[in-house]
Amino acid sequence: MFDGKFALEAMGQIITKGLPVSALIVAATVLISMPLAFLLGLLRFKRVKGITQVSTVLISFFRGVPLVILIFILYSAMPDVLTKLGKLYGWGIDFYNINRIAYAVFICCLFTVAIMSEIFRSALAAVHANQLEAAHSVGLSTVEAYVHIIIPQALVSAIPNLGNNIINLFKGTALVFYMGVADIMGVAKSAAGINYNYLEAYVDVFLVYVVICFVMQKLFEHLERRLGVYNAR
Amino acid sequence: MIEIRNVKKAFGDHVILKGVDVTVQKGDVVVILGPSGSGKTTLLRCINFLEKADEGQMTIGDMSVDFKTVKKKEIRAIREKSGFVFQNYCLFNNKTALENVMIGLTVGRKVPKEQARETAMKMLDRVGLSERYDFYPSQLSGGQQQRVGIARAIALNPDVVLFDEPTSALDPELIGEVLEVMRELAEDGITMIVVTHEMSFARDVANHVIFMDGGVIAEEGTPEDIFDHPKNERTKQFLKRILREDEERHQQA
Amino acid sequence: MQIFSLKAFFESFPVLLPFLPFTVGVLGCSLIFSLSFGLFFAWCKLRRNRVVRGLVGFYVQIIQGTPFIVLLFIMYFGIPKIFRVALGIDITGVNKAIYMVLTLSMFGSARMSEAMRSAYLAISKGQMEAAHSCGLSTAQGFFHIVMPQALYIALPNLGNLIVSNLLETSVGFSIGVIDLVGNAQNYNTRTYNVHMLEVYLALALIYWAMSMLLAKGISLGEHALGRRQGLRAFEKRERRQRNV
Repeated sequence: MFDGKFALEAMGQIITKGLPVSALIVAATVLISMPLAFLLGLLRFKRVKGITQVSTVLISFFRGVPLVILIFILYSAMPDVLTKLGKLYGWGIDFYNINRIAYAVFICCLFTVAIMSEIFRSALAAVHANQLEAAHSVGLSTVEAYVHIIIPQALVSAIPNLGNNIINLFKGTALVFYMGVADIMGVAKSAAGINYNYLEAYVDVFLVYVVICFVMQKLFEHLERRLGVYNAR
Repeated sequence: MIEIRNVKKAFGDHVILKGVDVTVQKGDVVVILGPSGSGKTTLLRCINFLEKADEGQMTIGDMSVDFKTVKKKEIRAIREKSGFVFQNYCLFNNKTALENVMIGLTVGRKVPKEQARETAMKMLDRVGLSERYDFYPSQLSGGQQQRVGIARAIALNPDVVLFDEPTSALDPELIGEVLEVMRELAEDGITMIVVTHEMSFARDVANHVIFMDGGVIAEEGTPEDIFDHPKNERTKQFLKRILREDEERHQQA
Repeated sequence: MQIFSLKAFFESFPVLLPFLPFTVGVLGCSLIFSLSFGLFFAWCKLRRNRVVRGLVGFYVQIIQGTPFIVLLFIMYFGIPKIFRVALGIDITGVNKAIYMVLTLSMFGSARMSEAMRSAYLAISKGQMEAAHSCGLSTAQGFFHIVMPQALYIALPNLGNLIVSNLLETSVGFSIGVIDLVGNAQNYNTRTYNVHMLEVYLALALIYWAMSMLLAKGISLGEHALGRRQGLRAFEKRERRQRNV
């Protein structure tokens, strides 16, 4: 009923070929999105005109549309669109042959920046107003107050939410196989297709995700404890 | 020497300060009393620009400004001449006690770290907390936090230290240690303006008492003048009420 | 050939929208199970019995550690196999939506149980103690005092989870469910993928509208609950200004 031999072989392939790809996508997305999301969150926190309104609409869009549809929109349409624009403006790039991983990272970044910026914004808002006043009272400028007092506290308080989000991002990358990316799901699907061992393949995928999510969770809890040492009570 | 003339401040439709004049000499300990809403905290916060007054002039040391036309640079300079102690201590949660005291020096005034550290330890020693220098605010009691707050305020060697109800948020048994520190500062000759309800402090340590009511100064004078020979009717009423509450509180503690 | 045809965009709506009720129906069915099992699991995790707590905790942990689509595939490939091998029944003809409802229920109940549990824990013990001291039984204390407050705290999180469930329904097409997206894929195949972009954009808009409506509904619910509990933030503006 359950082909254990296939399951083991497939697991080997999944871990050695698929996992690095998924990890790469997550890492690249986090590295690119975090600073951008922080910047956007800061701008939205300070209610900078123009940016706040536009970003509110965009954030609502990325939170209200399923990831799979965003992927379809992007992947089925963008090479087409970009190629036509390329012909119009004379870019020399062949958009069809760009590595699919780049597309995956791009769409994940859009999605992640939208969600993470809200986390940063509310973390900044949660820092007590009196910290800024106290900073002024010892002669610090507003910028200095933000750099030394307010932003550090906001970042530490944001860690649990950020951690959750990164774990969700990792789970979300499971959908990029629709773009043909050979990540955990992609490798599993190809391996399963030979003899229709779909159940075994997906159970493997399930195990990989469960274990890694658990590990990530523990890592973030540890990080939270170490950085939030001033919250000890 | 600080001189404040004709300070006015309104929040929307509510006029809080209706034209207040205050003169403080070097070494003075001025206590401001009054019912809530009288404007005493607002006055204090206007002095170091935590609130922006609508009208009035201020001379502090050798600097003169007009509240209407004051510039950012002048505000920053004045904030360095005045220390502020908050009712809720407002220590920087992500910094140790030592770092809290140092940061005004290192970041604000670009003092080298070693020198700032020395100064900060001296300040902490002065308030009796040199052993807790590496504790975070969340690890300190209310009274200890407030004493760090005082150390932070005096670290910049200001011309005046402003105290906004420094003991109001403390449990009764912790009030004493903070008042003791304030008493010692006064004896060392530090110029202080204190908004408080602690009558014992006002009577024993202050050399000038101001009673505010309804946004103006109703009466002012030496502690003996105010406590023993109040002239204004409102002053008398207020004192009666406060002294009664004070007695009840000290009986409990 | 154009990049984007407005005409094709608008023309896709009448094709897509008839399948909206189906998606909503799937979501609604799964919600009934998610909420009730979520409540049950939250209750289990608060028991003193370590075995019960452990089992439920383990279940919640593994469901939360898996992408939805993986769970869906396991159900879709696994359950017919179990039926065939263990019971000898062939269930390949069953409506694929059943797998969707089943998986959504599992997924939703695990996550909602966490939201409910943390909301419950946020209510201080003193509330129940005060209820007892007024002569209320534990059940009465729970229904009249603790649960309304816990519900208010849990509502925003539950709202987010409901929207999240709605968004997860979109992968149903991969096991052959003919809902909004499934139908859209069929339409695309029928029209040789000529207007893929327009169709997908229309789909995006439809989902966006649905999630905004849901979010608005939840926030109205929060307001109604908040006002009933006399929470200051929801008092009418004039009343608040008078108190100043």
